[in-house]
Amino acid sequence: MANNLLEINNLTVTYGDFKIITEVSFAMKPGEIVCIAGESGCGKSTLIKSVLGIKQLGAQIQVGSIILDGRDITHLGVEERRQILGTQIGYVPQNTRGSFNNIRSYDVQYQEAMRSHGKKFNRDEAVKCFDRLNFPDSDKLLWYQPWEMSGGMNQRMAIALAVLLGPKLMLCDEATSVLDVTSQKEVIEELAKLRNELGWSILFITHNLGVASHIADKLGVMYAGRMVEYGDIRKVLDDPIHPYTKKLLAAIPGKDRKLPVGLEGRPPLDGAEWPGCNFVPRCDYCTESCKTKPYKLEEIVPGHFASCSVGRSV
Amino acid sequence: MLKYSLKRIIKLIPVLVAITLMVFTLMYLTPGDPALQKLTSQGGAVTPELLAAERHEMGLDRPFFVRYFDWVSNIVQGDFGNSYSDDQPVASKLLRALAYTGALAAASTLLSVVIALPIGVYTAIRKDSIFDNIVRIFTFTGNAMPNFLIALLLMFLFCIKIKAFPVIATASLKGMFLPTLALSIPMISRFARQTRADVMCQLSEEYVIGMHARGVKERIILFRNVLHNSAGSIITIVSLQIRVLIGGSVVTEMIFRWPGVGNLMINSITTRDYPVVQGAVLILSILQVLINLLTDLSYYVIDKRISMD
Amino acid sequence: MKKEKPKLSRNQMKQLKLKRKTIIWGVIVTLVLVLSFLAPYFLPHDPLETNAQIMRQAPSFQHLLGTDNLGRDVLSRLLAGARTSIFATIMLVIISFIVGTVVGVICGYYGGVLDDLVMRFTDILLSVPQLVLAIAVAGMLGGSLVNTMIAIGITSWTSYARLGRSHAMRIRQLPFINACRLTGCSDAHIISTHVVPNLIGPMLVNATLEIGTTMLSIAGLSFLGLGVAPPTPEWGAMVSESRSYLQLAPWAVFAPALAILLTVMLFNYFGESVCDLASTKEA
Repeated sequence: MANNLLEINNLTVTYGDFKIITEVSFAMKPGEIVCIAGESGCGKSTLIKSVLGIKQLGAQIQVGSIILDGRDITHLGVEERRQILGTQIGYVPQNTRGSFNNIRSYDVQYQEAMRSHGKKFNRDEAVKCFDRLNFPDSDKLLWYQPWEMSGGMNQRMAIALAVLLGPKLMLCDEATSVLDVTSQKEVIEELAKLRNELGWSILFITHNLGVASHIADKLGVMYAGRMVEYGDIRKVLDDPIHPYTKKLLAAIPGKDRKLPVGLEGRPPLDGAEWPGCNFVPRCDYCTESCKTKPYKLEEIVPGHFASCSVGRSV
Repeated sequence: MLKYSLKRIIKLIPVLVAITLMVFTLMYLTPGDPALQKLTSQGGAVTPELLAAERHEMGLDRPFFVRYFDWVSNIVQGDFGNSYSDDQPVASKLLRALAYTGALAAASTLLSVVIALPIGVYTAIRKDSIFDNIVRIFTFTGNAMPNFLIALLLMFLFCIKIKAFPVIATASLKGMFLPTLALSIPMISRFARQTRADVMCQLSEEYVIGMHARGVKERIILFRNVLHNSAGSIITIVSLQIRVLIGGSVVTEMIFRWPGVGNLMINSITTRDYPVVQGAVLILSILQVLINLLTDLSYYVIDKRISMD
Repeated sequence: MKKEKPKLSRNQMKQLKLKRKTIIWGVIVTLVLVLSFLAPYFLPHDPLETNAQIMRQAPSFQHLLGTDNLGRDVLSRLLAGARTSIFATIMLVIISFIVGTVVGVICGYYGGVLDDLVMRFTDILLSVPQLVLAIAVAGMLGGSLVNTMIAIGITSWTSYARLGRSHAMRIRQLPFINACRLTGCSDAHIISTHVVPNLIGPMLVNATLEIGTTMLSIAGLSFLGLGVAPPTPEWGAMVSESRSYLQLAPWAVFAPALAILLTVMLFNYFGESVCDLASTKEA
C-alpha cells in the first residue's frame, strides 16, 4: 500500500455537532481517477473539504487520518497546509465563480498564486499551457477578468493554473455539474488528457454517473455519510452489489423513453449517526439484523468492496 | 474610460445649472433689500433717492431671469460680485478660504482612511474579539457625537488642560491639528464600521476559499483581493461622508477660527453679506459635485462592469 | 441539509432575544419622551432667572450641574430644553416621513414624467452638502426653531421619498395589484389599502434610524446660532452660549452636549434594534 498517493483511513468528519461522514476509508494510486457519487447531502463534498482542510470551510476531522504521498496531512498547521495547497493538491470548485476574484484580471491572480509558492510567473509559459489545452484566443486570455468569461472557461482557467502549479492530486467538486454539455465535455476531456500526460490523480465528486463512467477508473458510492460501495468502475456499474447502488443505477433516465425507476423516500438527515445500516428504510432486501449489524466495508469480489451484499443472490 | 468620463461630465451640466438656479433663488427670496443692506453695512445715512440709485446700479430692478443669467455669466468668468461689507471681490475671498477648507478636508479624510481601514479590516478578521468589542463601543459613540462636542472636548483637553495648543488656531500646520482631529473622529467611526461590514461580506465570498485552496498567501487574499473588492462601497461611504464633512467643517472652522469657507460663510450670515454667502454655498456645492464625479470615476477603475450600464 | 432543524430554533431564539432588546429600548425611549415632556413642570430652579451673584458656579448640591455665565441653573435649563430639542427632532422626522412617503408613493405608483422630475430634483438636492444648504436657508430666514426645521426639512424628505418610491414601484408590479385593478378598484383605494400597508414597515424602520442624525443636524444649526432665539433653553444653543467660557465653566458646555450625545445614542440603539428585528423577520 506504500505507493498510494492518497489514503483516507476511517475518516469521521463533523460540522459543529453534526456528523456528516462516518468511517470512510479508501485509497488512490498515482494516475488514478476516482469518482465519488451519491445524492445531495451524502457527504461527498465534505470529503473534499476534509482533504483541503481549510478551516473556513468548517469541516472538522474527529477520527481517522488523511495521508498524502506518505505524509500525514490530517492536522497540518495553517502555514504548512498553505504550502501544499496548490502545489500538491489542486482544486476545482462547483461554483464557476468560485476560483477567481471576479473583478481582477487572470494575469494578476495567476501571478499571486505563483508568487505565493515562490514560483516565477512567466506569461509565455502560461500562453503555451493554454495552447496545449486548446483554449481559444490563448494570447489574450490573461488580460480578461473572470466576469467576462463563461462558466466553463473559468473552470478551464482554474485547471490551467493548476497545470502551472503542478499538483499531483486534483480535487474536483462537481466541477462540471453546472455547465452545459459542450463545456462539460471539454472540461472532462481536458482532465482525462492531463491525467495521461502529467500523471494527475483526480478525485472527482459528481452526482452524474454518466460523467463518472466516462473518465473514472474507480467508483465510490456514498450514502448518508458512508461509503457503501467502492471498486473498479466497470465492476460497480455492471455488477452492483449494494442495494443502494442498484437502485441508483436504476434511477438513471435512459434513452428508451421509459420513466426510470424512482428511488423512494429521502436519505436520513442524521444517517451518519446510525449504528447499523442507514439505508434500511428504503431498502427492499433488509432484514431485522440489518438495523443492528455494524457498518463495515468488505471486499466481496477482489477489488470490489461493499458494505452489504444482501441483495446479491437475488 | 474616456467615453465613460465624458458621459459623466456631460451629465453634470444640468446639475450645475440647477444648483446655480437654486442658490440664486434662495438669495432672491431672502427677505430684506440687498441695496439697503449694502448701504447700511457701509455706514452713512440712507435716503430714498440714494437707495433707488443703488438699486438701479445693482440691477435689482430687472426681472428674475435677466438677473440670473447675468449672475451666472459673471460667475463663469470668475466674478462672484463684491462683498457688501468691504466691497472686495468675493472670488478672491472665496479662493483664499477654499484653500484652507480644502487642506482641512483633505487632511481629515486622509487621516480617517489611514486609521479606519486597518481597524476595519482587523475587526472583520477578528470578529467578536475583545478589540472588536472595544472598537464597536468607540465607533457607536463616535457616530452619535455632535461635531461641536468633539471640537470643544479637544479644545478643553489640548488647549486648556494640557495647554499643548493655543485656543485660537493659527492658520498654520500646528493650528490645523485639532480641527483635523475633530473632523476625523466621527469619520473614523463610520469608515471603520463600513470597512468591517464590507470586508466580512467579501470574506464569505467563494473566491476566498478558491484562493485558499490554491495556497495563496493570506496577506495577498486580504489586501489585494478582499480590500480591492470592498473598495467600491468604502469609496461610497467616503464620498457620502465628505458631504457631511463639508457641513461639519462649518462648525469646526467656527470653533477653531480656521479661516475656511465655512467660517467665512457664518461670519457673512451674521453680517448679512449675501454675495459672500451665495458664493460660499455655490463653491461648496460645486466642490461636492466634483467629488461625486471623482467617486463615479473611481468605481470604474475598481470594477469595469460599471461601464456596461 | 442536516443542520437545518436546530438552526431554525437558534434563529427563533435570536429573534426572541432581539424582540426583548427592542422592547427594552422602546420602553426607555418612551420614558425619556414622557420625562422630557413633563420635565418643565418639575424644575429645581427657574431656567430663565439670571443671578449675577452665582455666575459660573461649579456643580454643587444647590445646583447639581452648576450655573452658567448668567447665573442660571444648568440642570433646570437642560430639563426645560429637553422638550424643545427632542420634540423638534421627532416632529421634523414625522413631517419629513409623511411628506417623503406621500411623494415617494405617488411617484412610484404612477411613474412617468412627474416621477422623473421629482427624482431629478432629489438628485440635485442630494448633490449639495446638506448642512451647508440648511445653514444658508436658516441664515437667510433668520434664527427660529421653525426656520431651523424648514432648513433641514428641505433635504431630509428626499431619503423617504426615494425609499418609498422604490417600494411602491415593487408593490405596483405584484400580481394581486393587477387583480385589484381588474375588479375595478380605484387607484386611491389600491394605494391606501394595499400599497401603503405593505411599505409602511420598512419606511418606519428607516425613520427610527434617522432620528439620531436629525437631532444632530438640529443641534448643529442651533449651535451655530441659527436655532431658537436666546433666552429660550435648547441644548445646541446652550452649548453655543457657554462655549466662550469653556475654560471657566466647562460644565455649562458639556452638560447639554453630553445630553445630546446620550439622547442620540439612545435613539440610535433603538433604531438599530428595530432594524435588526425587521431584517430577521424578513429572513
